[in-house]
Amino acid sequence: MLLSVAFFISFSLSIFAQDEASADASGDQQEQAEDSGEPSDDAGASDLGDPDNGKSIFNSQCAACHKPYSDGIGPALNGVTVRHNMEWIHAWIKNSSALIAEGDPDAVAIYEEYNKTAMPPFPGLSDSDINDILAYVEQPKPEPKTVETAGGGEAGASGSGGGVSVNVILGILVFVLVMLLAVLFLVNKTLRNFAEASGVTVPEKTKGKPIWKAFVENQFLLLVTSVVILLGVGYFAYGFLMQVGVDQGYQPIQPIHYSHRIHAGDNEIDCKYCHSSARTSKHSGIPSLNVCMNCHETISEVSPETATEEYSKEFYDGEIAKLYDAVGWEPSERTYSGEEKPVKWVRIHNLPDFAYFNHSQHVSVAGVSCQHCHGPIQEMEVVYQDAPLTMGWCINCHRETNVKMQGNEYYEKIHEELSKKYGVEELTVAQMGGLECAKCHY
Amino acid sequence: MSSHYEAPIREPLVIGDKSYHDVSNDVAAPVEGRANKSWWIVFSIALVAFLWGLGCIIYTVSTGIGVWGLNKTIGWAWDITNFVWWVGIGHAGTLISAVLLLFRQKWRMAINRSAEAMTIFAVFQAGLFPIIHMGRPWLAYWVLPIPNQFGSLWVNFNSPLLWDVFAISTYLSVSLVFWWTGLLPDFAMIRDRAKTPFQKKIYGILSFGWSGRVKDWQRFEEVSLVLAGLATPLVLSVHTIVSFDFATSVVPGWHSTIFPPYFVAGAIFSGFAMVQTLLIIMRKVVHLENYITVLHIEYMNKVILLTGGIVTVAYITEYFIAWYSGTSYENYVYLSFGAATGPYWWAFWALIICNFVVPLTLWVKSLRRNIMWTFVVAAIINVGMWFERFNIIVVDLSKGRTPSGWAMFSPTYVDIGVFIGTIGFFFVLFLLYARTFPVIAQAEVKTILKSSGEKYKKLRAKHGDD
Repeated sequence: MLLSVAFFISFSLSIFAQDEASADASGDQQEQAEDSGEPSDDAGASDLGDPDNGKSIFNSQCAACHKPYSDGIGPALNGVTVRHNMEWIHAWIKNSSALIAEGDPDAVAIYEEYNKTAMPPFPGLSDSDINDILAYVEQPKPEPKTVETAGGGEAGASGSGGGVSVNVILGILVFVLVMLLAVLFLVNKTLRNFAEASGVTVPEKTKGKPIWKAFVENQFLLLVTSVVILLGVGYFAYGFLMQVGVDQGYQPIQPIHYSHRIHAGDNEIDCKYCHSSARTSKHSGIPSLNVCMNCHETISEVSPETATEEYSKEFYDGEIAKLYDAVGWEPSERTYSGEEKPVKWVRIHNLPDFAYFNHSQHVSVAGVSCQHCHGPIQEMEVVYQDAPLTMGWCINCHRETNVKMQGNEYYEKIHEELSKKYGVEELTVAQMGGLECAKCHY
Repeated sequence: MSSHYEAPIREPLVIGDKSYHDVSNDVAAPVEGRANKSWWIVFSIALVAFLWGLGCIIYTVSTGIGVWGLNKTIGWAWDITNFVWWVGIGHAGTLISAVLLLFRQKWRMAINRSAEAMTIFAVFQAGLFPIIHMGRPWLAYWVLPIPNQFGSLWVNFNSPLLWDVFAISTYLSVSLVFWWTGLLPDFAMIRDRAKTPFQKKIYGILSFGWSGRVKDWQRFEEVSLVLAGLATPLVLSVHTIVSFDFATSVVPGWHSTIFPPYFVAGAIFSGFAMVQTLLIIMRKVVHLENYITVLHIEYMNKVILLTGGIVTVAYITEYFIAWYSGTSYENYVYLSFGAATGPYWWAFWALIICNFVVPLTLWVKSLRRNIMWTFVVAAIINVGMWFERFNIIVVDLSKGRTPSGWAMFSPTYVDIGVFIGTIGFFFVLFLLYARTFPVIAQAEVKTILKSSGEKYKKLRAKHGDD
């Protein structure tokens, strides 16, 4: 007994201890994040200029070809002030081809190294602007952030990733309960032993009817239970049959881990940038790889901030490498090898071929938002099917949605006539014949 | 027997010197005895036919409806012919047990049990065809208005084929309940006589604990009367609905307002012919000559004569209207000059001979009371009524409004195999029934034993009514 109490105490202590430890740990992390996230003013680069201004200039004018920490079309810029003197850098940025023409050995060497790709002149940049840019690129490379640091301290406490995991706490609670039961059993046994020793006889319980027998003999209970069971069976059988052929939530593993969260969510790329055919075609196609290369020619790796706890920066960079492999792009030489392997994307939203669905009609004419049918796609790390895509789902929307008549010449006359006929200002798709079999099934 | 009056002119319905106990013995004998060799032989033949038909059905469903002889012009042929034929056969059973009950016809009591069994087994066969003639029978459940994922896509209640679903399923279930209710006292009788514990257990379950108290009997009679009152409009409506499959269409020869009563009359006509075919054999094999007497056979022949007459009038009407309408298309319908001389002339004349000429012989009393002749006529009527449905369906379809769509129909072995299979299945069920069920409603026969039994009639003739 004493032993178990000791156990209990020691465990409760350890819980507190862990809580403290985790609080400390998260606090430390937060501090670290603050250190690394904010550019430190006392770093050596600060005397060059204002790194914040430099960042904005860099993003607008330089980022197409340069990255701070790795080679792009042009070389990585971090450390450039060490490699060259300030005067040369200023001259180079303002007019690099003039330097090359002059025969400056450094300039010619860089020009040769990067496939004789000339850097355009930037005469508009003042010296202080250039200093700001240099201040920005000369900052030390930031550490990859984790989810807790990105989300802030309070998110870490409540989020599933932060602090002591709920599972651990539950496990400890279960253990404590088991210990309590053991203690009770021991107490009971000891008391019985005392009673036996002092000659007290514990009266034996008379054995009543077994509970199942009493249950079977109670006809009312039996009837009610049978009815409940029958209803339950009916409920589950019908429920099972109603979800046959429904692929809601289908989330296959794609050949490349493409994240809509990063592209459509964080970067706010318009849906129709990649899925451009949604506007004009019945088919909103998967973008061909040239669309990918339009940006990824210069973006060969994700920024450190993009990485999450689940997916590291290395993982994402590896996925971009898969894209390069598919299109035959050599990032180091910046050339296409000509060896192309189409990516075998797994299609998630499948309608049977006897159903005709037209994206352009819904997107361009009706102005239905993408999220209306595909769910919060900008939050999906990996895409899943949000809507059931059953016929009942289509029909319901057609019954409730009004046709967009305004600014559509086609509907002018028909709107006037039909709204008179039905006595309403707005007409649903159903009233326009949107429930006819042949509209979708021919 | 005091204050009982029955006209002396009535012939006895139960002959022989029968007591209540004799009735029980005679009815229970086939159930308690063992099957003889001939039963096994006939049963095996029926079983083989059934299995062959089952193979044909599986072949059809798994390969496609194209294994039948149907073509684009004639989309219905043997399948629906057999369907209507089997449904029609089923109608006699309900007529005997329901309509004759309403008319207080006591002669029905010896034959109603087997007639109802025939109904149920025939409706089973009929019910197969609407399923197996579907191109996609696995979607047959779509005919039911069940809430579903398709935005609750429902059936169209305008189609007579959907009415068929309701008609046939209601008809089968009501017939089954009516039949089983009547069986309760008889199962109880077998239960009480049973010698083996197994038999006692089985018939104990089948008889639902029937103990024959006054209150039970009172309710039993009321239920029977109510069910008879419900089943009678059902008999008329079910085959009416089957006739609507054709009558509501625009096909020349199908679009006819006479179809509903005419089909019902034909159903009773063919149904009684089938009852005759079965009972003439059964009374001999099971030794029930004292209960199913020549008088019963004569009465049924009279019903056949009546309904055959109605059918004949309908034929003449159709033939007349085909000419009188002046519509050129009506010259190719199944009862027209064109049909009598066209490529299906043999089917036309088979119909006239089997359904009109041969049954006329039943007007002669000696032939009507001749069991052998009755059997022959009944068999011929069954063939004739099959031809009637075949003619309506195939002849009318074969020459429609557009001559470029004219076609002929010839069945494949699968068409024929499925039909043979249903006949086999019918006899498998009926033979099993004859060995395990009380084939005569003994409880009912016992109620007329003292009023219509030969022994008691003689006693009354000798001593007067009091």
